[in-house]
Amino acid sequence: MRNDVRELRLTRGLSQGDLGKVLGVSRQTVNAIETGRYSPSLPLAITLARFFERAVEEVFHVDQE
Amino acid sequence: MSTKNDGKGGRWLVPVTSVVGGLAMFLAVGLNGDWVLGSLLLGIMVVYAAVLLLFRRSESVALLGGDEGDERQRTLRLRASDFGFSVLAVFCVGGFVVDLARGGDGMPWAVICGVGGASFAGALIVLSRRG
Repeated sequence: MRNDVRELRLTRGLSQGDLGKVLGVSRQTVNAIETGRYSPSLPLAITLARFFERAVEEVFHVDQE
Repeated sequence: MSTKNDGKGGRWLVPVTSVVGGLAMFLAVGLNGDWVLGSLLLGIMVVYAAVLLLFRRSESVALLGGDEGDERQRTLRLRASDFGFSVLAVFCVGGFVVDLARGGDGMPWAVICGVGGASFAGALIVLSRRG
């Protein structure tokens, strides 16, 4: 699942650690989400989208088969 | 549903448990006359505890040290537990079969396999009913 977390984070001038603190997760988890190695739970995805003032589907893009 | 790292787990719990376990091994082996082996076992556990305390910035070490972690880290812990349990199950069943083939009665492998299998089945039943 692709996502725009990295781009959105950089537009806010945040480091992965900063975003992790806001979300209550580790820097490694933010990195894993950005690189697509980890798909966040629905609550975390919603929290992320709300933080960036976007809808979840504007941040996360499910790859169509 | 919490997605956050709530900080539970305790910085000292696993390291202290490791040292206490090492002391128990030291006494158990030492009182049977082998203080050298006892000291070696205690030393291994102390070094393990020290690694857990000194290298907590490593995610892997922090998780080994008992950090509850966030949702991804909890998933990692579950997957690692699943892998470890699977390896242990194969090892125990293998030991059971080899012992039977050697003319043994399969003990204590049978008990270990039974406890592991019953725990797994019981947990699966309870968790599936809870949803």
